[in-house]
Amino acid sequence: MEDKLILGGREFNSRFILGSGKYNLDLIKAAVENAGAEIITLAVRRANTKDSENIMDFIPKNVTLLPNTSGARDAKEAVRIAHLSRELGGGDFVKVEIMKDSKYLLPDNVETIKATEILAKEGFVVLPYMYPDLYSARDLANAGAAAIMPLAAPIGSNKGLTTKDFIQIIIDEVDLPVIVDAGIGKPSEACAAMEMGAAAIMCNTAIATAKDIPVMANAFKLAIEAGRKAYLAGLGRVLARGSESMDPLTGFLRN
Amino acid sequence: MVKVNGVNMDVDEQIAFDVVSSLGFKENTYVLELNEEILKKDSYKSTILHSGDVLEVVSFMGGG
Amino acid sequence: MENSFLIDSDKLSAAALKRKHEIENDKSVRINHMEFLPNMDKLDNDIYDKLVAASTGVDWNSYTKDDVLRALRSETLTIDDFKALLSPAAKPYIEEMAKRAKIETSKHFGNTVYLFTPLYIANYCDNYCVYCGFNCYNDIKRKKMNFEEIRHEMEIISKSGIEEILILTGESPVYSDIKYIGEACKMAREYFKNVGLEIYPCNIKDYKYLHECGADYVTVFQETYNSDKYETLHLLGNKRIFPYRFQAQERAILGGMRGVAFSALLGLTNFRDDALASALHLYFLARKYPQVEYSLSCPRLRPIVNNDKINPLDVHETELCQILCAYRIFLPYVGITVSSREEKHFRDGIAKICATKISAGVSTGIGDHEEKYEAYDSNMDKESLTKELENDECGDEQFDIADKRSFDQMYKDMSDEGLQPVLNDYVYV
Repeated sequence: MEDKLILGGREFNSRFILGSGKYNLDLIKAAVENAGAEIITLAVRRANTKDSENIMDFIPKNVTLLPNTSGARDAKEAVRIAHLSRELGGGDFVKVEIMKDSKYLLPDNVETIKATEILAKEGFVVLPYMYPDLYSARDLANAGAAAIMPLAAPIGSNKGLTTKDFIQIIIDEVDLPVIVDAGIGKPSEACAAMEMGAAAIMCNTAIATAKDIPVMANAFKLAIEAGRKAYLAGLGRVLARGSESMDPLTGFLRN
Repeated sequence: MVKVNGVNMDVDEQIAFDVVSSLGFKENTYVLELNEEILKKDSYKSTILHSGDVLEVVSFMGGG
Repeated sequence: MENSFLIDSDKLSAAALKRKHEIENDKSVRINHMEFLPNMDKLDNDIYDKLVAASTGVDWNSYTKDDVLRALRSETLTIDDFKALLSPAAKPYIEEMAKRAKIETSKHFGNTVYLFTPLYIANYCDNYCVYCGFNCYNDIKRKKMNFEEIRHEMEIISKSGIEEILILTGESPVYSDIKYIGEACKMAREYFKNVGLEIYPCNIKDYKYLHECGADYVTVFQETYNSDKYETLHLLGNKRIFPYRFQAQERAILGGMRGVAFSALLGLTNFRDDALASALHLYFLARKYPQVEYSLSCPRLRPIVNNDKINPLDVHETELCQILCAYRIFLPYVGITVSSREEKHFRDGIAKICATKISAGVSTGIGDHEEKYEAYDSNMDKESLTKELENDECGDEQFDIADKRSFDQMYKDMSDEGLQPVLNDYVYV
């Protein structure tokens, strides 16, 4: 059986969602190719006349766009940005991203749930970026999200899987693909998240701030594939160290 | 006065497309939002801006 | 090997006997067990489909030692890991399973064990379930206690120290209607801090009413999750409708109940299939209703009045222990109840591994607590106790119990085992 990532009824072979922020447009094509990415995120912003280049010209045509709603501070603004991105030709995928805190850029789960419900009803394939909280994840699932995107660490921090235990709970308890987003700093961390059962990894800063962007994109690709394979293979047992001194518990059984 | 991307401009009664083009935006790379309503693409050349309007010119850029 | 369940009573009229044999032998005279009757609430969702997809056609012999060890070392178990723990490959690892189960139990429950007692208030039954002592064709003494008698029983039980009660009836909506059960619940709330119900499955509005009357926990045993086998065992009555019974816990939740309990009756068919399905039934509902309390029981077939040959076949104590450890490791947060169908040594042992709830001072008869409690207190031997209990005013038992310990004795025994008996930690909200 082929192992596909399914989002909103669409199938993907790659489980690496690449961010396009913070690096030169010239490198996007090489990064996408080295990452083997089939989905790339974009932001919607006031157009800047100084940039004569259009990012859309640098993204290979077979790549699915995942516009985000960054800049939105509440559900209403997120919906507005999603509408603009659809009008811009961004398709029906949207990563809902709502932040009310400009220092830590932590997502507001309550507003994110509201926006998810509205956009899902309008037919968007909604991938909400969220703080890894089980109840919010369930609410997002009920609101019609196509996947859950919990953060691993504060966005842009490259600090790694600091919320590991909570992401694991969401993976275990919610019947949706879980895409670990934000904070992943190294390929080994992406691999670890995939071993845990994450459906995909979204990564931007770790690659954008690497010395060699295309090579780091490739390193992440390999790590994500390795983690996925390990997950599918079923991790082997870990031998406990030493012997246990507990008295036998099952000595009472008679037959 | 019309507010275009946050800047007040004296372009009252001018056509939206002309204003945006004169600022250097290339056709088909942006979407216009007038007073928080998205303009249909085929109406850019027929929409006339009035004093007090708020026009946003938005496009995609890199983001995570 | 199979149990032979069918017993004819010489008290049945020729016509009744003829009808009984017809029902037993001719499937075509039996109603469609998969079709809801007109008065039954029907919920529209995919939980049953999910269960069937995950639990049928399992090749139990395909699991290996490594599958078992991998499952035992995983922090959260997949459904497949759980299957490995239920498989024959896991049997040699029963001690390792028990150790892991004990760790999980103490993480969620400390070393507490809850004590409760069941109170059967009536044994009339409209169903013909061939393995059950209450079945409508079984020649037993029938009784439905009146409210005065119920109050008397509750007083006796409450005086013994018990704070949690499980009210049971035979499954007869005619003899034991919802109002009657509701009144019993109201009365029980005067004497006990927590009232559970194990009665016939009913509609959402009935659960809602019973909840208002003070019941907060509903137990329904599916008996077997193999619907074809189910059909051959439940020949008459509402219980024959397999999917209505299957949805009982969900209706109870929708009626506002705080907790629901599940089980198969082990020994009716492939016990691994049924243990798997029981746990998955709970698992899928828990994903949908995470706020609810859940628990599993593990009854094995027992002898009944007029058929002392009934036994749990290949579900020996080791298998039962394996199932319970697998439940605990896969579903660390659920309650596990071990009833008096099991003997003292088993209940003492399993309480230290994974059971969280144990019954004490049990009678499955109707209106006989006083005599049984007195007899126990005076250390009467088994024979004279049996004789003593041949009292015309009491109703017969549903099944033979295997652990007759009183509440006091159980409290002491559990304390001696190093466990902390808990009578109740319940706050009604």
